[in-house]
Amino acid sequence: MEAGGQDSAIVKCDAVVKTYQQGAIQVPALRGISLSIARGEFVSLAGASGSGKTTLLNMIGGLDRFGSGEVWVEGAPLSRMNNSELADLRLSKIGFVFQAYNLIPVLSARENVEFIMQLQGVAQAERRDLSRQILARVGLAGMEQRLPAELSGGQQQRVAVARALVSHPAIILADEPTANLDSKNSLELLTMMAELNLESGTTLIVATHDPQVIDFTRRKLVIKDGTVAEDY
Amino acid sequence: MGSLSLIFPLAWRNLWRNRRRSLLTMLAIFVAVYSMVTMGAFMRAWSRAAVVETINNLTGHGQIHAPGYLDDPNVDHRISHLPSGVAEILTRPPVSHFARRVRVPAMIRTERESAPVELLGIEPEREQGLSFIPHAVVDGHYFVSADERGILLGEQLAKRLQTRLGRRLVLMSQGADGGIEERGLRIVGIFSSQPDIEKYSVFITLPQAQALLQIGDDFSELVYRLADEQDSGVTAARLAQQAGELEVRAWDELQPFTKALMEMSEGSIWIWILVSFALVSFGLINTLLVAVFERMREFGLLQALGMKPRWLLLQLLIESGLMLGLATLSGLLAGMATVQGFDDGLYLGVGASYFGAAQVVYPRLDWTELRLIGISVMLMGLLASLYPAFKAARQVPVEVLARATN
Repeated sequence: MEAGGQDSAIVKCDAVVKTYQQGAIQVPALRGISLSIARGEFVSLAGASGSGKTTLLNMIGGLDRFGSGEVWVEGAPLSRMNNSELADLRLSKIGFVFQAYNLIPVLSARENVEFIMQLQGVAQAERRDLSRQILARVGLAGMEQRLPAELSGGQQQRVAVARALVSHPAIILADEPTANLDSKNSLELLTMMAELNLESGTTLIVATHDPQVIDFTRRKLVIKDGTVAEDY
Repeated sequence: MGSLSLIFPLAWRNLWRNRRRSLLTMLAIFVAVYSMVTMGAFMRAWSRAAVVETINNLTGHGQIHAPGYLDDPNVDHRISHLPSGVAEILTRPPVSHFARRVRVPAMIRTERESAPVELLGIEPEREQGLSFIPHAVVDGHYFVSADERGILLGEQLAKRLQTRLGRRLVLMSQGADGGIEERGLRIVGIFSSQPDIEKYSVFITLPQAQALLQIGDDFSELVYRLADEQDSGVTAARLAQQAGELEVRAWDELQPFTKALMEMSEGSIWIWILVSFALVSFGLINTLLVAVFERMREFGLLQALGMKPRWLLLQLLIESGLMLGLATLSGLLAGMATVQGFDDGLYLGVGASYFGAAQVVYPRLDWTELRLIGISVMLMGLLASLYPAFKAARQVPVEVLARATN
């Protein structure tokens, strides 16, 4: 589908099907989803647990393989990429924020933020400078040397957001980023993400079932039984 | 590779993440390497001591006999003259010493007891540097002249015969004409040696033995010693070419038990090394597999963040390499220190004599073996680490990340 690489969509899915094998039973997770997300959008993939929203997020991030259909990220079809090329795509274009276990336990907050830049080959001085700035931006100035175990859940998510943003990826994929946070921390994190979306124009796609998060996003895609039930 | 600056510190910190597990694995590798070094050095020292003891006792590096003597060592099988080619080889390097001996079965009798013995007629001067006997006399004296009339007895034989230094005894043996010859001799020296030699060997001078047996200048065996034991096979072969019908044997043919002991010792070392390798490998595979399973989510995260599978593989191999390197180096150093600590010898006790070895052994480091152990443990360990590392690298990130959050 040529259109995938030629229109303004940063993410495009066409009839994406994903089925999981659980023993002898085949469980359909995505039943031919098609959608298009434009550059700079702040989108929520809303839906109940098991609806397929996280599966869809993983397909877009190249973390998993789909059975049929196609996903394009910045015009590049993911089905034709091998694991190494998918790792390159994630490194250069996509930032991730997961629900939990976001940080590398043996690295400090600053080193976690610098991790992707280091993989990208950014010079040390520049890495230090950028990581200091972004950690200050997410309210963690003075906590650069702390290990993840020495940070609260909210602080860990801020480090994860800082890491996702610091290399200016085209897309940030967040999977239930507020699931383990209290309402105050959730609100702070969402406000910060919304501000960064406006400032940098980064496309934000958030899988969530939290109404507070859904309200924060400008576009809502409701996923139900592996299909897009609503788009508003 | 630029990513090494990222992967190496990550591997180092992960190594100490579960400090106790890493230290236990390193301890297992350390013990294996340490035991390989020390066992190798001590076992070789032991078998080496047995060889040296054998050569020093009466065997030398080789012997020449009349045909049939080795099967039936009696007075009928004796050497009358040496071929000139043999004599020429014996006077040049690598031969350092040689001597003629009469060596026949005999009986010895005191006023109280009698005992079967092996009679050795020796050239006292030539035995210096060739065998143990010039330095083994603990009571009395060694022969002071080539034809001194006297006899040397082992401590145990003297005890058995209920005799002592200065007493007389009667030595009997079959002479060249088939009759029994006998001679009264005074005990001039009591010697201490290996139990078998102390119990069954008696020494008189060669002229005395030749006179007793009435064999003129004939002798039973010619014993030689070399500057370097490595030349024993070649020298025996050269002598055999010149010896005509005489039989030439290197020490390892004359003492197959010692040779077998040496081979068994070498075999034991290699079996131990193989067992140690297996222990290291299984220990490492187990530790890494547990570590990999524990850290699956982390590997998923690393891959989600853009770390390529081959970098993950490299990270785990570096972790394993660091663990192996530290433990192997420590094991080698500790093993070397232990072996060096016994530089002045390790006393094994009197019991060692019963196994043909010296009571004191001198373990030595073999640098080739140390290098071999170090490199082999590292290679085997890394090879064993490949499976867990591949398992981690081939993990699909979503299987460990998304499954828990969907």
